[in-house]
Amino acid sequence: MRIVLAFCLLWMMPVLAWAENDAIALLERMTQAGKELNYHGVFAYQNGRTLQSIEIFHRNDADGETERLMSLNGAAREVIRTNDMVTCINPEGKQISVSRRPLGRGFPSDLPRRVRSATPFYDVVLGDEERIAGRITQELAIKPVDGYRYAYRLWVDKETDLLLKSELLAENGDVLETFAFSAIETNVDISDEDLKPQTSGEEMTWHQSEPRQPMALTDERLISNWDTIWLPDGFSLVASQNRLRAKNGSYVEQRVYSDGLSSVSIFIERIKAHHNHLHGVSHMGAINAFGTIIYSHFVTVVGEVPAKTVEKIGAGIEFNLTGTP
Amino acid sequence: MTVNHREMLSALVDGQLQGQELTQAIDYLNSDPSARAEYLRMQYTSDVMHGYTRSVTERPADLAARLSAVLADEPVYRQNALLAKAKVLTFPKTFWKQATGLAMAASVGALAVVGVMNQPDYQTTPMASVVNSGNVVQVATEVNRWTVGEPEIEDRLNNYLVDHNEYAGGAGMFSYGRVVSYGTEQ
Repeated sequence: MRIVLAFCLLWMMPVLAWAENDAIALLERMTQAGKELNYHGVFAYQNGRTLQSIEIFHRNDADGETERLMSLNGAAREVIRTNDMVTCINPEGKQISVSRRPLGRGFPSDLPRRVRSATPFYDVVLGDEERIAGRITQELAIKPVDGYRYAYRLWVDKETDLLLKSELLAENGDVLETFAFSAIETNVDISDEDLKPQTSGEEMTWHQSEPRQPMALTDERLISNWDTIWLPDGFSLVASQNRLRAKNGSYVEQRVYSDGLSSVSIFIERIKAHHNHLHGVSHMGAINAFGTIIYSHFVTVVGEVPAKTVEKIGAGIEFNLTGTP
Repeated sequence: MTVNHREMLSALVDGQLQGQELTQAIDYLNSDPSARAEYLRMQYTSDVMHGYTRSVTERPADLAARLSAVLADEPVYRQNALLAKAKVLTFPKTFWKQATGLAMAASVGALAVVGVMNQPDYQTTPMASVVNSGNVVQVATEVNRWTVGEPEIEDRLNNYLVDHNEYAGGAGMFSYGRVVSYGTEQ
């Protein structure tokens, strides 16, 4: 009996490996489709008891990618993303915030290229077919190997490989947030008009942040005075930048760590005046933040990971007195 | 659209659906354009009723008036109504700090809860504290915003959220949905 069982397992191993490869290949195609396709649709964002409808236009052409998202309920907040800029418009607060994109690499970030490196830390399996927004999708179930990252369920359009629904799950299986298209058109012409903000910008307060010195990971200037003594397995530094906040004139260092799928940013901002700062853990939907003060710097860890992860990373950040930036 | 479907949409707008019921409602919205139109109409009506289409600075007077009017017509909540009204008038700053963060369920009952938020045994969700302020700011979390009460800290976290979104992984193309829907109240 044991021999038969061992034989079955040996026979099944290549099949299981092939299935996982298939799932990872689909994950990679999905991230690529989100960048390359033109699409226009409406998706719902559900987080706890809040549910919001959001319209999205995405265009990819010779000039690169451009995207506009607009809230359909309540205040008409908008986000417009281009290759090198993110503009957030909040008509309710009469504010426009413009942030130059890091490294000028376009968007989304280069995380999708790292998806395959995430596989040791997640079980990725193909699930059932399901109909979302009138299209047949393939479900992908992604379970982490430990409690320091969230699980995902993704539904990918079988025809275009576009992500049509996403669920983020806590360790106990609770759904923390859901994004789901209710209607979507692909391969449509997105006009310049579609990508223009609806708000004129008059009578708005503008805030701008500029990158100080874009840095490649091989750049020697990446040497920082800050060390992390603990990160979840598989997390490594994938980006770093300094940015000048025009609003308060201070520089903010952002260091991004990722396992290829989940990511965490550490923001370090020198205290220039008597300001209040987050002390402890806060959250916004599935995004958790942990704040503390070290050597006259506001240090904040932000990421779509459990609260215990940002807290543990934050508790292990050290100022290296011998380091020379 | 049947009466049952309409009730389901109403419950969805009111945030009363969970689990399988919520999935069914979203599937229904996905499959029927007229249901989506009806849902958006109901959601908008709910937003107007709750004053969410007004700016934050205009809200206090408006909501206070509505709260008083609603509670005056609601004898069951008479005692809380008087308490709430008195606190609004006496401690407007504290009141609005709490009311901003309060989960706004679409019922009159939820509005009446404002009146008891200052009771010492009232249960709130886990809080973040604020360095240097001398006070621990407490905010209920059934709203799509950071669980902090200081605008300065909220502003800083929002900047960080936008910058971090560049690197958001799993939800990828959807990630800026969090930014667009920031501050949504139920």
